[in-house]
Amino acid sequence: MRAHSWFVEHREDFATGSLERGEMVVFREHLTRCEECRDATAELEHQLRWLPLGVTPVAPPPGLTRRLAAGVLDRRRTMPRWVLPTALAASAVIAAGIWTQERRAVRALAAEVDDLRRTLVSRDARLAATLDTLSSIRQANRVLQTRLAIPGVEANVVVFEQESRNQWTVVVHGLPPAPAGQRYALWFMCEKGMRQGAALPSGSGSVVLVIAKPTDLGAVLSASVTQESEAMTNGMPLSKREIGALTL
Amino acid sequence: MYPQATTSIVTGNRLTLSAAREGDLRARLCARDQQALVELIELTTPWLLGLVHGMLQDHDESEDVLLDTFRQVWDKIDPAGPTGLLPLVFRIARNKAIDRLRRRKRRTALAARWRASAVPEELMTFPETIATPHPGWQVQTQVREALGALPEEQRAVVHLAYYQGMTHGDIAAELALPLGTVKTRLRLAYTKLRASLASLREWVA
Repeated sequence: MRAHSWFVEHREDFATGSLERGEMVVFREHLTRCEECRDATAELEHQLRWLPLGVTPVAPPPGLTRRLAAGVLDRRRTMPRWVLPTALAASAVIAAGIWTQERRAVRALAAEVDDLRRTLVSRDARLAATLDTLSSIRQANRVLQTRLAIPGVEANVVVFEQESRNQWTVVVHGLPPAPAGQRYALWFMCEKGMRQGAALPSGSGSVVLVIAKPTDLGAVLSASVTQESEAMTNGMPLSKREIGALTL
Repeated sequence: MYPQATTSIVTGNRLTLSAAREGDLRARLCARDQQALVELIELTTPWLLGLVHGMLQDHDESEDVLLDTFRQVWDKIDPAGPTGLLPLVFRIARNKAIDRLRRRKRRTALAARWRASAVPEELMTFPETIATPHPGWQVQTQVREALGALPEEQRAVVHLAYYQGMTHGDIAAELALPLGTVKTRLRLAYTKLRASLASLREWVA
């Protein structure tokens, strides 16, 4: 069968809407190019134009005429009837999903708020300590400073002595990490002996310590910053090397 | 505010719509006369509902098809259209209903419905017309006379193909007939119907 013969044979099927969907599309496309088939199908449609009236007319439900007129004249596109319930169902599913996600988000936010609260409390404490330190520094009646003898490193210690409180505010700056098995420490040299005041933490920035002066060994004469072994015997390190001295 | 429903196109018991009146309706539609749209809806809706609902078996979907049909007519009405206005409306609505049928694969459901019913008896008879004659009822009478003049086996395939929107393949499967037989019966039936309905040139009472 020639290609056009197929269209000729199926003109009536097209005119009466009996073709499959795909065939209908092909036929419509053919009609745009074939005047003969276009005229022939138009004639068939015309001859059968009253065939739809073989049905029984159905009384329209109340208000249908008005709904149809409104639907045509209202240029806003009305939704097909299935759209609204489908949209509502989809909205419910989405809302449930959002609700679940929101609950998770709220929980995450609550945890974050707790973290922030803890951070703020911690920072408040640090701020209070800093203010206290600044107050101590401001009220200091003596300031001592020494450069630490560590090769290749610019490190120093500054001491603000507050006699009324009998304490030292010690600022350590630029102290490198201690070698393995070693640590840094500050020792008080008193009239009746020596006592370790505090271990000095290392770090790239400044570290502030508040150390109470010993009161049971007589007057403090000086202080010494040491690099010493962590291992101890009889309360004293096995080895010790002075890297800085503070003389009152 | 939309135009109110009217019966102005139907005068008394004459129930006529001559070619002149139809031409006037088309001209007013082209002039965007909203009252003409209401008249067209009133005039054709009972027939369209009967046609479309018979195919789709769904009230809501049928109303959607009618709305799409009237929108297309309103948007694309051509003052020099080649065919009559009312047949054009019927054809648009029927094509839209068929498109929906093809899309939703309703053929299966239709076949099930037909299987569940007494097929031969149902195919041989048409429901009675509504008690109050509607414009077009005399045309309906002639169409049914033409259908009634067909042999039973031809009327059955026309009913399934034209009024139920089934494809040839569906009909062959439903009636357990070879596809060629279905096509032959339809071809013979449509040839006779074309001859019978050729004289219906106007919609007049």
